[in-house]
Amino acid sequence: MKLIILLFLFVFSLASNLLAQDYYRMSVDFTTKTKQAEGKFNLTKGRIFYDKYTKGLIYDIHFPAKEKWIVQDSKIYKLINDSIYFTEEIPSINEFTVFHLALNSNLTYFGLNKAKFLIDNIDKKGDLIISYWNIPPHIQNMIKTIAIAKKKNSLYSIVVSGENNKILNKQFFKDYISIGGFEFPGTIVQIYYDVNNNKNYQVMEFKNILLNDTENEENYHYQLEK
Amino acid sequence: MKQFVLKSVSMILIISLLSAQNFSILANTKSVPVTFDESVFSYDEDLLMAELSDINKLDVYVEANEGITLDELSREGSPLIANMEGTASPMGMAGEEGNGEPLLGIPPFLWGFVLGVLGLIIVYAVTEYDKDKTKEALWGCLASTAATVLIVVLVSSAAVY
Repeated sequence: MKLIILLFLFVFSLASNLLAQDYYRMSVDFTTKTKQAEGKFNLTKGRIFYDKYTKGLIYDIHFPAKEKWIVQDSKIYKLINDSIYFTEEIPSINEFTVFHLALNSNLTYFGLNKAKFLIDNIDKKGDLIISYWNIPPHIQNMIKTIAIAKKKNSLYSIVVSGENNKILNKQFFKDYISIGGFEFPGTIVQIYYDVNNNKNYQVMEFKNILLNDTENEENYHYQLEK
Repeated sequence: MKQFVLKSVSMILIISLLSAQNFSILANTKSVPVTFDESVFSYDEDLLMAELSDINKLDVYVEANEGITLDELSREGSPLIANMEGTASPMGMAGEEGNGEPLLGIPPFLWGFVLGVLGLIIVYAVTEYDKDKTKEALWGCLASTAATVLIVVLVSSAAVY
């Protein structure tokens, strides 16, 4: 009997440890397809590397041309053959990326709850649980409503509207890839509406996720030449 | 009896403080309630596929020809790139130079891929809008949280002893 109890405790603690595993870095193949209302399109393919502790976000792009984009601190660097050809100051964005949110299990509300936004109202429509969020006063002149739909407890859709409830943007998170306790959308569809209500599309596809990779350290910490 | 009254008053003060904080946050961020129809949370998958058909053909070709670049396709005179823009756009909608005023004043190349619109809104809300005020609000929040925690600890200690 003691042996059974010990075995049970061992299995239970092992399962707990597995569930509590810290996912701290990821790499993934990406394809970004954009189609503008006037017909122009763009295709970008490559691999992304992100480490949530160093907050370094690296795009190793192989199409349309071979180049690297590095987003760290509040700068973006673009490199061809390891030479920087473009630098720009940007807001510190990495903590609000889908990668950071997924690695911190905060994707369900796209980090809104962590950014001190508050839910105003919750509604149920079919198999969707929809939460409506209060908009901070200083952006109410641009954004009127943020609605987040969850399906099966995962983020499914984000709708942002402006004046007179005009939809500005819709975003859909689909084809979730689950690895252990880690979940990541295999496809993200975004629809942007311009002033004439024309639709601009962007589809991002992800595959070959690698978590907590310790064998390719250099891919996650690119050393920029000073 | 005196201790009981003191503890009760402390508890009432804590509850009042927490309620006041919640109401002040709500009062600052309240907007007109809106609900959307279920159809808003969907899109036409067939239409999307039709819109992406040219890109998908190019994608299949690039997958099958590993390492190929846009320059090489251009030299070959490939019809697959007839409407393609020449720059990488992994972080958002094409057109890095932007057309007119960027939404929320944030460069257009940050659109989409990394942040999405909601990410941009959050970035704007927590970092770009008047950094001094944001810091003030953050310190104010931390200070009030610390004060609340301190009161809870003191009352708990009083209850134990």
